[in-house]
Amino acid sequence: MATTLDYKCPHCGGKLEFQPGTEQMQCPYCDSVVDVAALQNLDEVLKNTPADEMHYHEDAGAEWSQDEQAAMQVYVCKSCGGEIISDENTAATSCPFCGNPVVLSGRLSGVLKPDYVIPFQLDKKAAKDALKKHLEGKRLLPKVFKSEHHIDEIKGIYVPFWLFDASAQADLNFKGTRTRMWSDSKFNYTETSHFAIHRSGSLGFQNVPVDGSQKMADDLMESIEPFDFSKAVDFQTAYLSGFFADKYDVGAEESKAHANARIKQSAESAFRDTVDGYNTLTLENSSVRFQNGKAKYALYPVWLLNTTWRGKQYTFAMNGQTGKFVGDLPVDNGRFWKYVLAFTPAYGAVAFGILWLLHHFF
Amino acid sequence: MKRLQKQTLTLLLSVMLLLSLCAGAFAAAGEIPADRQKPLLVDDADLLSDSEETALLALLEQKSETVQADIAVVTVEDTDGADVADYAMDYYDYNGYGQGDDNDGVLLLISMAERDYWITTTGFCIEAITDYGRETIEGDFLPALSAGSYADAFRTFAAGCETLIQSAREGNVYDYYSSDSDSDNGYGGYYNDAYEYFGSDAFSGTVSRPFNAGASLVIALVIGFVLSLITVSAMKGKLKTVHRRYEASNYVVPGSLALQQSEDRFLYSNVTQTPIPRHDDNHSSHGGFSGGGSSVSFGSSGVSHGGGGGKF
Repeated sequence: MATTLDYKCPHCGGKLEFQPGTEQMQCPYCDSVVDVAALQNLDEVLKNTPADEMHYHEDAGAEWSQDEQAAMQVYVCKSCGGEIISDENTAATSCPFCGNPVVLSGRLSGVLKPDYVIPFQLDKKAAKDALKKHLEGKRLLPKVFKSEHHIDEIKGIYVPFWLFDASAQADLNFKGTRTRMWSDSKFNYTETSHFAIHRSGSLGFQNVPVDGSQKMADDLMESIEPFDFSKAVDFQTAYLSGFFADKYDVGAEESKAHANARIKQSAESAFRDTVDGYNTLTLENSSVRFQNGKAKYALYPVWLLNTTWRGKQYTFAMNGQTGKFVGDLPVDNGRFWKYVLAFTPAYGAVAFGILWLLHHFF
Repeated sequence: MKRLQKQTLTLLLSVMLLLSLCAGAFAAAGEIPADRQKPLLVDDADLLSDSEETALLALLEQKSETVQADIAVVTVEDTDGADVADYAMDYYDYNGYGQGDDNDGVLLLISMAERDYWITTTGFCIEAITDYGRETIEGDFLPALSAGSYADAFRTFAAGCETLIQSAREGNVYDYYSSDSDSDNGYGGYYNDAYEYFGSDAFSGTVSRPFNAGASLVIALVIGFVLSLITVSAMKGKLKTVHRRYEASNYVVPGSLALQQSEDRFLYSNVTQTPIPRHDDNHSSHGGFSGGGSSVSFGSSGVSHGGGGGKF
């Protein structure tokens, strides 16, 4: 049985000879104080960190009943290929995605029935007001933009979302340093202590949404988050009356990767927040495993307006539940430079004053 | 009654003891001669040729005569381990430099061992050669000193001292606030004129720094342009409201965080040391500078001196 083990100093790489049973020792080359037992243990911990396991039970969505299916009609846009669903009493004329005319293509088939729906809580008027407010106070917006688009074209659409629930079991390993400084008459001293930090625990996530429509830009849908799922109800076709629903074309399986990435990111930051007292902290590795991962299929209410300006399409979206309104706006480059030139003398005068003061008093 | 006598006696004895101690200290510090024991130029480090020495000594004597204060230059190989400032002050005091009741004068000490220089001022010269004035002189003679043109350096030093002392004798003390070209208090003007007479352009550069309005305006406009670009870009940023999300913090079940393991293990520590930079290098700040005037210290004889120095 060996009584000494060779070990490298983590600071300078010098050879440490350490006696099992002793905990801390000093590196003969660089004077670092090393806890060899803890370092060895760290290797084990890092090696044994399990891989991510982020799976869901695939039972999202339901089958339509015969009656329900008969009452649904599907419109197809010949221009952009968008497919929308409405009940038989709501006729669609133009595509909510591109504004071109749509044609009735027949009955609904081949898609699942949503589990839940959040009904629209804000009407078209609220959406129009929100758009006006959105355009206000934006000084760099081209003036004509406000008048040129067709505000009446704003449409309420139920957007298909896959919702992911999971209880995440997380294991995280961080490296942290603490520094202490002091000085005597000749030198400043800095002591850096290195620590291995381990956190493990669980964190629940509910209804992490990923939109299931290719026509809907992911960033646009993520920008109007969050929706309040407590207001969701079991899906009934009656909620579709007067609105359109987008037909999902991205399945739950394809959507989960982004949900998982978001969950992992949030789990890491939640556990990172439980670590404090360090000057630097870096994540070495992390493992997130799901228990009871579950996917659901729901329709969320979104007001959508598409407008084309100078050959470029601008899409605005409003959360039909909370009223959060987003949409990138064009920049008037002429106005941009006009403002830059208008501000330059003002800032310049201040800068000149400061230079003058600096010269005279320092 | 007896107790009172005893107390008085104790007091008397302590006062006598104190006085004798002081006397001892003074005696130990040596005598300050009334008259100057050494010439105005002492070249122990042998930096000057004989002809240079003769010419410089004459110059120093003539200038000292004019301003009624000794302007002296001393060069040594080393300071016998003493601090260069203490050495300069003691050299000045114990060799009886200075004119008048207050021993007015200024001495430049050069110590070749560590290439130190020190300017010590005494009496009226403490007021006449302020820290700002001294640094102005230094700015002019240091290049020559560093280059090894010792005679040039010493001549420049003497000329600078003469100007400052003469100016102060006439009521115009040269200090930092008098350096502005537009100051109408009359300070500084003499100095500038005098220096133009000497033809030292290095000096006019340091003494009078006119506010360059044109260059400042260009700089200010560039700063203004950059700032307004930042402001307007921030306005532009308001037009973009669509962003992806990479976290799911909105969907954390409240109160669901359960920490099962929490371990912070010490691995190793190491200490690094860096030397603290010394503050007495060339042109570093000296006490008393920011408020104008002179920094004053005391030599072992108890005489107060102004001055400062550094490396060359």
